[in-house]
Amino acid sequence: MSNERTILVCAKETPDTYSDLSFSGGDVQFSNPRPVLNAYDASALEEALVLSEAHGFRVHVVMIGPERAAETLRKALAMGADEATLLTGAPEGADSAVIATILSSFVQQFGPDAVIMGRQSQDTDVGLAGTMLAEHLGWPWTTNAIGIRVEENMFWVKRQGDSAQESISSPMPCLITCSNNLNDPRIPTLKGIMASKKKPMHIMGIDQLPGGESLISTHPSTVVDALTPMPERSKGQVVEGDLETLVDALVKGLAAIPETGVDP
Amino acid sequence: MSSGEQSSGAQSSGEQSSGEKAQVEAWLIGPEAETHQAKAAQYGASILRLMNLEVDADQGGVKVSLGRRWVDAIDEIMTQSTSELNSEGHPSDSTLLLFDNTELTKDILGACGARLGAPVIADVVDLSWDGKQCIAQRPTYASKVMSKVITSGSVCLCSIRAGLFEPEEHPVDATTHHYSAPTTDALGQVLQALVAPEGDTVDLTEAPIIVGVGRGISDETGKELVAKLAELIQGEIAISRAHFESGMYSHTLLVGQSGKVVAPRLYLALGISGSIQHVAGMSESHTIIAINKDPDAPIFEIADVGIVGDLYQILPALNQALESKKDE
Repeated sequence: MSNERTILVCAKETPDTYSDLSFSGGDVQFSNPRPVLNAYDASALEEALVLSEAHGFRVHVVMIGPERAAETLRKALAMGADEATLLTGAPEGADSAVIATILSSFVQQFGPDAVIMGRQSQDTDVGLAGTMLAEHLGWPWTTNAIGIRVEENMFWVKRQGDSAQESISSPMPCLITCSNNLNDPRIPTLKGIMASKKKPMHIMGIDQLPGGESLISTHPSTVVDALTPMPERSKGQVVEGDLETLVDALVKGLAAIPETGVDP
Repeated sequence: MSSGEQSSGAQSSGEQSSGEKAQVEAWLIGPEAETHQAKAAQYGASILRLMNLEVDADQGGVKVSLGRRWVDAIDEIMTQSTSELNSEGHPSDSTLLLFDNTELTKDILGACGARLGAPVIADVVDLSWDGKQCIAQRPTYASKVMSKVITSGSVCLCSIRAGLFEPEEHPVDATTHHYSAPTTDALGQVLQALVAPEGDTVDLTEAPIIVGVGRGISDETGKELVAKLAELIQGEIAISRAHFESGMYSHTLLVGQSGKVVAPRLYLALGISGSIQHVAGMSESHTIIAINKDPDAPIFEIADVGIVGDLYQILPALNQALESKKDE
């Protein structure tokens, strides 16, 4: 089994940002208290599982988080990943750079053939950790994947660029970050959930990684100082009525914006 | 060199205690860097640093270079310009590197930060910098929460969300420095092909008027009505995720959390329900007008004008009304 190729999926647990949020004491609370697997990472995992089914990769998922996050990581095993590692003890307020440094240490020790991860997390929407990690590893990277296939020992990624789709081939090992438009992640089946309980889940302090002593004392270089509610857009006028009323309201609305070129 | 003296040679440094203004540079990197020269000077960049990049693929006028080339280029200009400024006796003690917030930037920003060993703040909507500390505001939690992020360092990197800062013309006599692109080791990576959409490619993030098309437009008839309307109001077409899957429009037009983030003067939302993911990409628009047949659609919660009705009835009548106004 030693020559089996491995895809490492780097995943993050996030609050359920699509549930209602409220502020209390400068902190944000969500109506669904259960954390979720970041949607973009779920797409990355789905793609890794599809590639595994076609090419026989072993799929390993790594997550940085508190011990409680094992529950979310278990969901990744229920979706079909073979094995998982939870890295605990990350510094308080770890930013993308700290996360990328920790992951880099893990990846170097682990030695996968590819790292596949979400292009951003659904809570902070930062989207930096992926290419930071690739740069630390000295690996080729492709971001915002909307299609991935493996051929001739290469990863072929279709990425959505600004004005075209780009088809990029990379030798292994390489790093790929995924759009959530890549696929619809599978829902764990009952059988998958039962099987996940027997799959290996390693819980490991980051101090156990190579360079672990310095990893636990790394200070994040960017600090989130305050969270405030976004100034809400106030609800404007809602127009109902016959066709003429609706069209009049639209023409008036369009004419109020000089750039439309519609005469007031 | 003390901080008070640094402005003359600084790279985009901020206002120091002496009150001297930051020196603003424009780094023009890319396949046809020199075409942007005049514009950069028009908006106040007094030093232009130009580097033409090797193009990995060219299709229908779209030229793309691998992300790694950009990172190498930025690293190279940083090194060269720092040593130039040092040898001229005007070393810079702090630099703020600003990026736009395109897919290209998202492809390279983290790697640039890691390469330069510099802190990075992405997708910034408000920013202050005093040469030492950088304080940024950025939307988070699907644009429902504003996050204040602080960093410091001799070099800081930020990407700026489009459409929120009014560009001010401030013509200067700019000095131009030319650099050759360093040799990039692509690490075996090859940009094999580009699929460029047909027709003109538009930069949605710079469009003043955007017509967003959602699930409510479902066929060719609807598509034609939308195209006609967009032409009449000089708008560019964007899509919600529904049309990422329908195949009716180019994928490059996607607006939302996983697509482009836009803040035009007007966002006209046609048949868009207003999912959290889509709204995260357009909620900073100056004015939002929405048409939807569902009076309970969430888009009406943020629209300045909400029109409840059937697009297939409204659009023909609206187009006709706008056309007859033009003929007057």
